[in-house]
Order: sequence, then structure tokens, then C-alpha cells
Amino acid sequence: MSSQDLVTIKPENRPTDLLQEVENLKFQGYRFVQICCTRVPEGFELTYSFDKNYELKNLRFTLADGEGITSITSLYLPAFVCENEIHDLFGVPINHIAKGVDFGGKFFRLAEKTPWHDLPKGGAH
Amino acid sequence: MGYLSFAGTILGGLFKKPVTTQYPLKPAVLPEELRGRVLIDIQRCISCGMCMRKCPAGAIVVDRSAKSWSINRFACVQCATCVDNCPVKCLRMEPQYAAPGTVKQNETFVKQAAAQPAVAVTLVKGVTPTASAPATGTQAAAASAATAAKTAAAPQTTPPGDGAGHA
Amino acid sequence: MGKHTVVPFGPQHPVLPEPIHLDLELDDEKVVRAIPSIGYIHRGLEKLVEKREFKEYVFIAERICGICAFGHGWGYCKSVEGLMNIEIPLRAKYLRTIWHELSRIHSHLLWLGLMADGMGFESLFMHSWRLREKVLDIFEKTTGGRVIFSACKIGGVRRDIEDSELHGIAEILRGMRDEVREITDIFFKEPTSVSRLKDVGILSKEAAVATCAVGPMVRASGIPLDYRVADTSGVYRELNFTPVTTDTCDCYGRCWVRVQEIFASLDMICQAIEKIPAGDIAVPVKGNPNGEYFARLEQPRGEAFYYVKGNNTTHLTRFRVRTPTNMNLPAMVEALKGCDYADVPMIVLTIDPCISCTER
Repeated sequence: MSSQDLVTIKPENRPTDLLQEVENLKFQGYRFVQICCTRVPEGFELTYSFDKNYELKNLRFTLADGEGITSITSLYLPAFVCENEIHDLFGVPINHIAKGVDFGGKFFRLAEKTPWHDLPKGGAH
Repeated sequence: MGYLSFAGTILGGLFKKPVTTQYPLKPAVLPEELRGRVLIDIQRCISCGMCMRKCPAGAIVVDRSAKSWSINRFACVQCATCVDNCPVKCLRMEPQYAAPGTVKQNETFVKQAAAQPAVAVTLVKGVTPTASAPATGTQAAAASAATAAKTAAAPQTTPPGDGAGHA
Repeated sequence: MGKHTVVPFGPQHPVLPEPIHLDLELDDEKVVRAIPSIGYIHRGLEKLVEKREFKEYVFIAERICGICAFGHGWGYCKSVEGLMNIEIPLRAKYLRTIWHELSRIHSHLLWLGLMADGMGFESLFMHSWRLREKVLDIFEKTTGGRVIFSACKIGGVRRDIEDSELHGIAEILRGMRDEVREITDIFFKEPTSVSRLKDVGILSKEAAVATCAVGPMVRASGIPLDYRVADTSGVYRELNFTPVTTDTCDCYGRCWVRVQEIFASLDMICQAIEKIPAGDIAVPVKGNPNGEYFARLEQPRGEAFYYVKGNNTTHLTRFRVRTPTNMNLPAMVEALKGCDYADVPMIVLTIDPCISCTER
């Protein structure tokens, strides 16, 4: 079972704080697992997950609607899949994605732009 | 000779039985646990609508007033959730798959009002016919088809509100 | 400097089981760069979790992919059970492990068939899938479905397998071992097959770590990364399990790893059938999910990651699946650099692409 280690990054310290934390993890030998984006009333909640020896470490912070975040592809290149997906589906601006893997909104072919950007309307089917 | 070495196989192939299954010439052998399609014993259905609410594909439509149960076989994903959740267990899965068709349409089953056989009640001198135990929900729902003998005693025996037992 | 062309590969291509688009930049016959583009099979299944009750959603979760169907059903149930602190009975854990390992066998046999088809070896493709039919018949008898099992539910499993049937399954699997060896030996000994697999699609150990690949892709580069070592929701601790690795770093190595995993799974299932205890197969589930939980599972293609978030209603607010192919795409793009144009289908197939999982 994965350990539920969640480190929340304080709102006043991103984006440089995010890169600092990720750099520490990289030099400790952590492997990148995924980035998850959830639409919450305050904006977008991003969770970055890293793994070492089957123990998960998660970084979490919340972005306001329209606020951007710096990409971690400079440290972990494979993050481009998750970052492009979040950009295409949720419309979260992600800055400085590494050259060659910045698809400019064209990674995910969709009929409607940023379909998951708005708050979900609750209710059953 | 090199090119005659395969002759044995060719001749054998002409005369031996095929190793493949001969479907559809012979019917398919289906295990009985196979989730093929949903069938209903409509007479036992109480129109509670539980299957309609639980269906993940939204394939079932239950109309309580018309006592009908209809399923869109092309939307059904054969998950058997309706079978598991039915309170009176009137649904079952059959191994036979639903037949293909050219038009997507619903299949509807309507519960017939059952005609109950008349029960003769002999009146024993000095003894009034007493009520049996309060009717169960299904019988109360079919109270409209109650027997002549029962209807005579109905106002006393049917507890008020029992007909609405299964809302 | 040779002639520079850009060739589109996919979304429709005979070797691809699922649609993915690659723009291949070629310098004469050598691939310089590959640019992927996905989204042909996006169904928005993660968004659908807001519209289905959490107990019904398991049927949607397992339809994320046809090949790894059981894995997704188990992953979803596992994450919700972790969130709600539900402890499932031991027999249910054994049954889930047995079905998941059978799922691994069927997935690897399917992949072997696709690999043979990608090489043009049609008869080997058909023989691999003929063997796979035996596993699919087991699924049909035990769960009611050949591809989509609907066997998992929150709290346990929906159906039990009787002990007599379990012993019958063990007999079938023991008989399969020799047949599988006969088919898989062809991949490793037939000269045309070996020449198409050896030294093709090299992914060095450093590159495998840098691209964060998972599954057989990384195990063929010498890194023993297999989540079954740490998985406590299955019964892998009680079975004799070690990750299969090799260090050839090429397509031949990945093929070899997957074949050894088939044999390892056959052994593990027979062991599990010996050890399975009697008991309940499910526990009742009360209440609503509240909070969040991360879970992982080793699927046939690698490590899959599940995240659920609930707010004490019958509908979850978020369900996230990060599938192994999602992580292997960068590794594939890396392995495609510098390869021959004719080797592109082999390398694309070697990550075992399951694009419908990647896009959900």
C-alpha cells in the first residue's frame, strides 16, 4: 500500500518553491509518477507524485483560476505528457515546457477546447 | 523429393474433419454463467424502479403506473447490477446474447393484472370468516384482482395504508 | 545530410492495436525524431465519475480498457476501499490475484500475437491467440464475460469460484505450459524473428531511469521495478514472486521478460489455488467515501496509479488514472531516435501501447 505522504506547498512560495522541492527529490533519486489536477471551487488543485522504493511522496498546492505554474520538464522530461494533458483539458497555463515537448495545446485532439475547465455541475445521471 | 513432402498434409487435409468449431452451422456451446442478456419474470416485478436507478448505462425504464419494464438491449452492458439489486429477484441473466438488429429499440414487458381464481369460502354457522394475516405488498398491489369472497371481507381485513406499502 | 521527410504514422496502421499518431522526422531511412499526438479515443471517463454513484462506477472503470479491464476494476475498488478503510476478506484477495494473473497471461499472449503480426508472421500470431482462447474460456466460465469481467465490486468480488473448478483451472494451466513454451521458443530461436528483435529499440539503463518508464520496458533494461513486490492488496507476499529482469535493453529483452512473466504467472496461479482459504467473498459497504487516497497496481504493462477524492456524498469528486502507457510514451519517443524506419512498428509495439488506457 502506498504511503499517503502529502506535502502541501504554501501558496506564497510557488512556483520557485515547487522547482526547489522537485529538484531535491530528483537528487534524492525519486522517480516521477504523475501529476493530477482537480477542479475545486478555489481554482485548480495540483498534486505531483514521486516514488522511491515503492514509497510515494506527493506535493500539493492550489492555483487560482488563470494563474500559471512553471513546468518541471527541465528536471523530469517525461512530465510533458501529464503537463500537456492538464493544459489541454483544464486550461491551466504551464510555462516554460521544455523545447521539443511543448505541443501548444495540440497534444490532445479534442472537439471542444479545455472541456474540464469549469466547475462540475453536481447530480446523478 | 522436396516438393512432395507436403503432399501427405494436403491429402490429409482434404479428408480429415476440420479442427475449428463449426459455428454457426452448429450452435455455440455457451457456459451457463455467461452474462448474455437480462430477462425478467414480469409477473413478480413490483415496479420499485431500483434497477432503473442502479443501471450504469441507463438502459432500463420502469413505469410504475403502467406497470411496464423496458430495456434498451443496445445500451445494456451486461453487468448484472440490476439482477443483484432487484429486491424480489425477478431478473436473471441468460447465456444467450441479445439478437443483433438494424434499429435500436426498447424491449418492453407489461405486467398483466392476474385473474385470481375464485376461492370458495364456506360459512360455518356461527363463525364469521376471520382475516388471514395482513396481505404482503405484492398481494396488496394486486388487490384489484381480489377474489369475490375476499372482496366481501376486504374492508375489514385489509389494514389501511397496506396498499401503499411499497411506495 | 540526407533527404529530410516527415512521415505520419497512425492513427490507422496495421500494427497498431489502438490509434495513436506519430509524426516521424526522417533523414533518409533513419528516424531523427518522433512527435506523438493522442486524443483519438478520449471518452472523458474521469469526468463521468461525477455522474455515477461510486458503487456503480466500477463498471465504467473496468471499461477504460479491454485488455487491462480487470486491473482497472481492481485498482478502482482498491482505491475506494483504502479511502473508506474497508478490509476485504482473504478469499476475495486470492480470487482477485488469480484473476489478475490470468489477465496478465492473456494480455502477454495477446501482445506476443501482435508482435508476430507486426513482423508479418501471421501463423504465429494465430497460434498465440489460439492459446489465449483457453484463458478466455476460463474467464467466461468463472466470471461470465470473456473480456470485461465485472467481477470486482467495492468490498470484495461478486462471484465465487468453487474449489473443484479451481483445481480444473490449475490442470488447464499446467497443460498450457508446454504449449506456451513451444510457441514462445519460436520468437527466440527463429532467425528472422531474432534479427527483427535483437538490438532494435535500445533503451539504455540511464535512459530508462531518465524517462521514468515502467513495466517490462524498464525491466528489460536491468531495473527491477515491479509494484507487486510492495503490493499488499493482493497476496503476492504469500506467493513465490520475484521481478523478472534482463539487461539486453532491446526489443528481444522486452519480449523475453514478458514470456518469463507468463510462466511466472502460471506458477503463481497454481500456488494461489493450493493456498486459497475458504470464507466470504465480500463485506458490506456502508457510508460514503470522504477524503482522498492514492493506490497503485502492477498491470501487465507496468505500474498504474489511481487517485480518488470524495466529499461524503454518493458521488466521488475526482478519479484519476495514470496508466503505464502514459509513462512509457516518452520512453518510446526516446527509443525511436536513431532507429531505422522499418523498425518503427516493432518499437511502437514493444511498449505494449494501450492508448485507450492513456486517454480514458
